[in-house]
Amino acid sequence: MSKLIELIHVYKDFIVRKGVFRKEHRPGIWDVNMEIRSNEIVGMVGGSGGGKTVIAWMIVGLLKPTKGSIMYYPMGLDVTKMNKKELKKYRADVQLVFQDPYSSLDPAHTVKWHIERPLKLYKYKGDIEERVKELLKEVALTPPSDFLNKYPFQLSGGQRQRVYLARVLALNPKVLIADEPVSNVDASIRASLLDLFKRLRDEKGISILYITHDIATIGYVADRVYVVKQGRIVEEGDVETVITNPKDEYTKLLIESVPDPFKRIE
Amino acid sequence: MADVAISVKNLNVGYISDFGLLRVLRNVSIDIPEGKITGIAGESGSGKSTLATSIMGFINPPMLVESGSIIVDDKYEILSMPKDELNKIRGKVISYVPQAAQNSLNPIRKVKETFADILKSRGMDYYANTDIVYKALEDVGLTDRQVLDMYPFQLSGGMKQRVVIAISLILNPKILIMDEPTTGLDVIVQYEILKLIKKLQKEKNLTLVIISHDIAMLFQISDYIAVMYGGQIVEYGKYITLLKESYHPYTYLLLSSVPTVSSRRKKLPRIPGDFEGFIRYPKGCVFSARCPFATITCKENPPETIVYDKFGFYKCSRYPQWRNEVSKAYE
Repeated sequence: MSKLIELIHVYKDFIVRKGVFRKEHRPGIWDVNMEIRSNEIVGMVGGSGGGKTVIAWMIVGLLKPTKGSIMYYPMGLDVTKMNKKELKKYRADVQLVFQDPYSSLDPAHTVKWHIERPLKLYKYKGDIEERVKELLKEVALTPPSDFLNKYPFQLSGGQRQRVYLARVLALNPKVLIADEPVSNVDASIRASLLDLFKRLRDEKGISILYITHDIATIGYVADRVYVVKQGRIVEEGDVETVITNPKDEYTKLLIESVPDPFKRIE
Repeated sequence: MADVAISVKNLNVGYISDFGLLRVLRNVSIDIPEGKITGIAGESGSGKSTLATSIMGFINPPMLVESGSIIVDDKYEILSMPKDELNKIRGKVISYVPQAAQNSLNPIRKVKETFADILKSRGMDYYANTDIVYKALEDVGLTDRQVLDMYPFQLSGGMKQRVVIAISLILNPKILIMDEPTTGLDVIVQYEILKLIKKLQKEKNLTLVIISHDIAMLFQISDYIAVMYGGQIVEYGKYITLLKESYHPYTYLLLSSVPTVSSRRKKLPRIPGDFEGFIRYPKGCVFSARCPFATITCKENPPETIVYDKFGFYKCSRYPQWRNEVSKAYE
């Protein structure tokens, strides 16, 4: 397994205004080292406000770290030092999947429009219509002709998340950064979306950084896991080991708090 | 056997829309026991919140009650009571915490002022009744009285939720309905709030109704569970009965599709498709289009309600046969 993305000693400070002239730097992310290898699903778990989303945004280049570098090995470049052209290419390879399927699609446009757009922007050569249908089949929205001309409000949460995934897959990405992709989706749909992630890994060799606060779904879907608390990585390793034998108190707390129908609160 | 706190009979509720009256709740009947936690589980659009607002009597157009009756605390006929009578029992007999209530705290008023407003609406003075407020805050684990002088944006999500619970309990209601009490909280805070809710319920012998889409959470805390699908209650009973022997395939599928820490290597069943919606309502069993065990009869004729004890019932014509075909759901 080769490395695709590596975060090396990444720090991120936030500036807090104290009065008109005074500013204070507050550490947000503290010395994070992380890697995403080829062909794996790696989980990142932690409570809210822990900095999970900040790390994700730094990886896709939406935020710049204060210190440290983020290497993208297939291009041999540091994400923080890329120019515009390189960044455009990078963003086709590394795609972000958002939490809320209700706000990540434009309500004024059809499913077809959403999936066509990246293809047009990246000057896809070939039959766009055919490609769109192929992508819809890939995310199990069949038959595709039923969905092409629908608007987001005509779809359920799970279907919207699938449309978004089809759009993300249009450019054959190597890495998906999925920020809470199933937490706003109904329980009956959740399992099949998680299975879809596994299928993308196994059949298309896509690596996924799966970010969540629910360690149970990590256990179901991921190969390795990072536990993030207050901007630091407190535990990392193989999922099996971390879940069956957690070392850090915070990991233990996360595991204890997971909703489980067979674990009664008295 | 516990007595009945809320009794809903043959309730039909709809919304007036461009397509005419869109019926959402269909013949819903349920008896909610006194002094217990009853969970109402269902996915989005299954009618859980409509049921809750009907019980509270918050019925405003386009919402419309076609028929049915709701009796709260054995004497209040919610659907035929005038508005001012209803206002008298709200908060005192029956209290309601709507969805995302933590965001409904007025951002430009201190927590103290919100408490003052509520007491004032009952003709009570805030400064004469501070001990009630302090007690309410202590009950929800906010021992620091500074909270009262803070604005909602200064509080964390978990603290806001605690404040909301304190507000809803300040007039000592017998019945409390909570709609999605843990949305927007992370797992650790959620776990703490759940423990708090359970503790308060026991101390005060409250009748608690919790509405949620998170079936795992509901099974952790509830004594009775009602499972809703497409505006109907498809199964209702003691949590342990549902957990050990689900009578309705939907309950079984929902329960087994929850990924848990221990289910790492297990394959989860899948529920194919989506709910058709209320416009093209299925003719037979409401779940038949997605049910892996459905037969042609299921699709044509609605199943009968089979009552098996004082509270419990289910609506499935294929029980217990479908239990032998469980493997179908994993294909």
